Amino acid sequence: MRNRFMSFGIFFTVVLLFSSSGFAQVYFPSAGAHREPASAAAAKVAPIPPYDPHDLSGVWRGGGVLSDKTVPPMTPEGQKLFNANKPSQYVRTGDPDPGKYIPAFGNDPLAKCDPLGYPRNLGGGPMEIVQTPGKIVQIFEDGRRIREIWTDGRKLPEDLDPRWYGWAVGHWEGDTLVVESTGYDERTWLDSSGYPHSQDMHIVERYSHPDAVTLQVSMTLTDPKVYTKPWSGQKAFKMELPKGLTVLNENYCVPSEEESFNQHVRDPAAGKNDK
Amino acid sequence: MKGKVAASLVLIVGFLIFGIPLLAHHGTAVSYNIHKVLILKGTVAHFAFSNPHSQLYFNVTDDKGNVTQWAAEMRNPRNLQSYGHTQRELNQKFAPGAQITVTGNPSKSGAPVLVFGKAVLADGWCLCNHEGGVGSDAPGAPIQGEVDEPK
Repeated sequence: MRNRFMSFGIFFTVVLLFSSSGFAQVYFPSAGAHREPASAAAAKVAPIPPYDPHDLSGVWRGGGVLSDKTVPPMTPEGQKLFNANKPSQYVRTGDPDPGKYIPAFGNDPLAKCDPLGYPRNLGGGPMEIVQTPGKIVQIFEDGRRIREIWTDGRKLPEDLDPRWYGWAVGHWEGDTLVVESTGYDERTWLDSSGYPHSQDMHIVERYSHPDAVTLQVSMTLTDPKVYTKPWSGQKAFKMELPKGLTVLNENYCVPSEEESFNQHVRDPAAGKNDK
Repeated sequence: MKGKVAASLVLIVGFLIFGIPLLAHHGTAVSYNIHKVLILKGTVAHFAFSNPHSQLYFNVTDDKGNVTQWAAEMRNPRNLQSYGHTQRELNQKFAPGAQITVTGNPSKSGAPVLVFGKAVLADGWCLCNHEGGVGSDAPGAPIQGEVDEPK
């Protein structure tokens, strides 16, 4: 009797949650592990979205695809660039002098709100994919930046000028979206450890959607000016549910706010005097 | 005795697994003395709900009547929100003039800046349990890791 009563209760709650009016009242910020309790509870019982392996749209959480544990040996030029980058962390693999970098004395582009570029923007917060017939747009929560992948059959431009998020074209091979890109602005880092790249960096990515809530991403980066071998990695991204209702946080890096923080907190705490 | 050794091992292994990677990652916590805990009473001057870290500025008056403005480094807006706090709520709680007691770890440089552990208002309302920041929230309490940052 009690069980039946409880089943009714659960059924009633679920109906309320998923009736259009009930759902519309629930706000689903993308917040990963720290998602606030009401959203987390509702997301747990969210319906599994309809599955189409060619529909990559949704809010995905994964992180950086290339691991610094598998970084290939650098060329002398690459090593020079790497040594010149001083990240906002004080330990990194292969660092000649770990311990000397603290944010106030670093040169991480993040600390000035410069665009993180790609693939660095994959690290950290989630990414939303918006898919149209001729173009796929990745929106990154961190900095609210975008990257466009053209899927209308065009080729990469021959004589391209660099862009923060490069130039990217994609096509389907069976159920896998293959994306080729190049023309990345050299000022961006590949990740928060400060791995460098040249404008000639060429990236091939393969996106597959093996089930309703998984996006498998593999990446091979080739940049002979900086790395002696290609750098590869893969990662499974998970969809933030409910699909279509999860919204990205407005996580801008605002230059005036960043400057104020650096001036009033970061620099004095580190004993840095700009005067 | 055996149990104590095992417990110590668990603690050490736990620190190795969770402590060091947290401390080794990006962030400004390296600028603070995590072995020293300050508890400061003052009045709120200004609260900034902003990236890369929210900030609480408050004035502390010493025995001689000298006023020093302190700054506390807090979690970023996304992380404050993920603990269920809103900008509207925090602006109201940290309104200029509010009496406040702030606990945290001071800067290594000696500048009046600390990494936020907790803040208690005169009516007992508290931003605590490391929801507002990762600094020590009581004497002897460990720092919890880094302040979260956007990448």
